[in-house]
Amino acid sequence: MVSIDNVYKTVLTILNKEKRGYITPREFNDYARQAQLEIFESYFSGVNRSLSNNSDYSDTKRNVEEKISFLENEATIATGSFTNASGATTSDYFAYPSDFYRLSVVSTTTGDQFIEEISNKKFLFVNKSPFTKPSITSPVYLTHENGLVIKPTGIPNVSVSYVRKPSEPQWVGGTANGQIIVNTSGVGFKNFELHPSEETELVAKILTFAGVTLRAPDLVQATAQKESQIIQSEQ
Amino acid sequence: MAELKTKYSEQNYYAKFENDAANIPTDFKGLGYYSRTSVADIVNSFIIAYIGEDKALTKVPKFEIEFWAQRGLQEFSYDTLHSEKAIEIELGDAGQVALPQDYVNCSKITVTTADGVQKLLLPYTKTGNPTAPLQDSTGDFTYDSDGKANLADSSVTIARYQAARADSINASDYYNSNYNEENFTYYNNRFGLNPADSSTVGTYFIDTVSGVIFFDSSVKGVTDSVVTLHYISDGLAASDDLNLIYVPKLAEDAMYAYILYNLAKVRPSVGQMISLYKKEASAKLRNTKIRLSNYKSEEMAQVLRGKSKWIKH
Repeated sequence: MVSIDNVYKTVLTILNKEKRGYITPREFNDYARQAQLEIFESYFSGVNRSLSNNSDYSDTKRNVEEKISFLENEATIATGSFTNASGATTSDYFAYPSDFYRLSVVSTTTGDQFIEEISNKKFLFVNKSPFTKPSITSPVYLTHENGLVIKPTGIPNVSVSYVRKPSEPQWVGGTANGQIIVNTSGVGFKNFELHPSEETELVAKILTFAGVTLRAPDLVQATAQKESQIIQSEQ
Repeated sequence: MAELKTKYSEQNYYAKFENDAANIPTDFKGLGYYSRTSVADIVNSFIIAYIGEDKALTKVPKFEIEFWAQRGLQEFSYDTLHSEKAIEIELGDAGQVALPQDYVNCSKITVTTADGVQKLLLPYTKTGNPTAPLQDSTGDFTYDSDGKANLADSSVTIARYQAARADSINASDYYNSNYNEENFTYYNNRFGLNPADSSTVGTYFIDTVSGVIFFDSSVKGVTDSVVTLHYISDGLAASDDLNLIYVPKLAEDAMYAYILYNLAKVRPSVGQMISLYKKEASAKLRNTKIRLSNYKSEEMAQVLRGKSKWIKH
């Protein structure tokens, strides 16, 4: 977790020091949400770019995977059906959990059988071969709108490992005696759901967004450079 | 402490044999289960050991591994594993037996004598069961309303093969009946007799198209004649659950090598390693055949002693 209050106050300090003005909590929350999403999404392409080594702490690929693991989750989803806008119904359908972002592993809840992903085209052939036809002990899944279709019919529940969406960060608070005071028990208050190492990048990203709003190109340039520096140091 | 590889406690394992119903495990795999492993376990182990980054194969769908595991078991069943099956059937008046559902090829067919000895029947190759279109009095085929030829239920060829033959007298009867009566006219009458065609035990013909085995009159004419069909299957017929299909552990390594080679050969990116995998698969299959042949020098010595040979072991 990254404290949203720390990030907000750091951003305000930098902006005030430069006498560039002030961003309201509402503006900050918008920037915070956007910054968190950008950083979060960059993990998935970052895994491929990262180098792996045998060290304990500087294996960059492992570090990125560790950041993703902050949002890894499991859920049991049950069979149902899906009806699209034109009324066509899909059976053997398993809807994703509401906070679903990316799928990792699907397995049966009884017996822990791994469920293999298969394309629609390949399934037509696999389903006709006596060797590969999906069975209760060797099921397969096809991806579908907001869920999965699992074959064969008759599997009531499956377990999915997935990466969930990070909750939207929100700073809640006000001012008292000229001081900015956070209200951590306020309605909707939420810290960033990212690895603690992301604090500096969050500050840099939010400053970039703020720089655009405040029409301060030099701030945008400086923070963009800083952000790029941080990203490079992580690779 | 590491988990034991054996699945049951000693008491649970022997419970069924000792009729100790209370201690028989619900998932009991049978006495001697430890000598074999399931195809599902082989597939899982193969994924662990061979698939992944920096391994022999990077990414292979599980169903493809399962495909080659099953193909491997089929091939091994045909000529490597001791997978011969036998079914004992009482022969009816028709003298016909249907092929079993899991039949792949015949090993041998025997007829059981009154004292329980299985006598070998020989296949008869000089007959057949051809399709027999029905013909009218002029010899023309007859057709149904769809224009297809009407077919007879059975061919005359196979009916005549199964019918009792006038000359079906066995060699000893033929010899004795003539010799004892000082009738030497039989000389040269059976000249050139082919021993394969002159078995008094009987012959059979397998019609693989209709899936029926036909026996000749010398077998089907015997009251209560019981024939045993020894055949091979492909090892997969028992279940569609790979957890319930087993491979002897002596063949496990050859299975891994077979799967690896076949997955690699359809992936050109594997490159020059394919020839290595091929040699490995071939060598391990050979080793498996030697292992499963189960030759024991003591047993061989005992057999040869019966042949008045001296041999040390």
